[in-house]
Amino acid sequence: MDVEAARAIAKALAIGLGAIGPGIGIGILSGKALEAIGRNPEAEGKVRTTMILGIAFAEAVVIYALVIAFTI
Amino acid sequence: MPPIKPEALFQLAGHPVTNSVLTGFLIISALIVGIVFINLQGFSMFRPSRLQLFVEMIYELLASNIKEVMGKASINLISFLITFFVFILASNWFGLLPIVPSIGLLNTHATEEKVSSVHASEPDIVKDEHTDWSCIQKRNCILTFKGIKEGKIEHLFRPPTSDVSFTLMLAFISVLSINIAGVSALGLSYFSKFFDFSSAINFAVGILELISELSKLISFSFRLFGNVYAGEVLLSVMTSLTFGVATLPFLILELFVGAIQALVFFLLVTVFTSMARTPHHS
Repeated sequence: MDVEAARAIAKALAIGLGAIGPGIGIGILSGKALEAIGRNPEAEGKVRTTMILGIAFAEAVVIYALVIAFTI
Repeated sequence: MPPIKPEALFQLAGHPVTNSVLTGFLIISALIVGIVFINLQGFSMFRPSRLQLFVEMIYELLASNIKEVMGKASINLISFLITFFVFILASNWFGLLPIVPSIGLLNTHATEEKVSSVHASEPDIVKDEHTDWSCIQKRNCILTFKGIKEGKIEHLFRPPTSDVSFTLMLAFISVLSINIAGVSALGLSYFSKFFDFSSAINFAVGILELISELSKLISFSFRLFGNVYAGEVLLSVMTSLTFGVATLPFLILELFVGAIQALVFFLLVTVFTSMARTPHHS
């Protein structure tokens, strides 16, 4: 296997495997936020802000993997 | 596909000025001119103009967030944090303007592993009157003032947040300002968070706090850079795949992502500043 083929596989694996975890994490986070809003519609603003913060943290992990995929 | 490393356009006092530096300078000047203009309009308590209402709306949205997280904050701190949001938002949304991917210099000597030179490349000299249409198969066609040429374009404008060195500096300034806010609120006992010699486990926790400061640096810079650069690449790939027809959904996505990333940077710096200002439990 030459270098270019290995590099292509590495790029695909980096972003492919790197997006599984945060994808599941963001789904769980949004589900819990929806539950909380449904339970207490008055606290929607606070819940939404905290949810966006949590989603940004989870998204950052995918972005690390994406940067590796670009620079390999 | 825009390169990760921004191209240098010209030299200024021995240092190369890249296209992201030029754009950053333009955005800062535009923001300053806008702020001076807003101040010159004057504010009135009883008959606010729509511009005043718009500015107050932005301030209310952001300052209410800050006050909720931090309890009380001085106006200097609020202004400092809002500056992050406004600048990052302006820079992210600038990347969506149509002048950004289209205006540039032609580089016919570019290869994939181009060692970027610090001098701008010369415009192509017309060698014959007939256009060479083989550039279409190689997907290398660039429209210049002299006709269709083959080569790569060196952009003149690029949003500064798509430059990893710029976001690294933003992250460095944020982490520095978080620590300075901690010192100004708690005095020199702020450093007992990192160097705690009361017990062995507190010492290990202090080392972990130091490492977490470093991780803040990396996460701030790469989150912003990754989102903006990936958005640029996505837009350029979608434009070239669909010949510019179906790029509207991706432009809307980039609008949304740019705003969210500015908000997230602002919220994270606010939260970490408030965490640094609360007294550390011993």
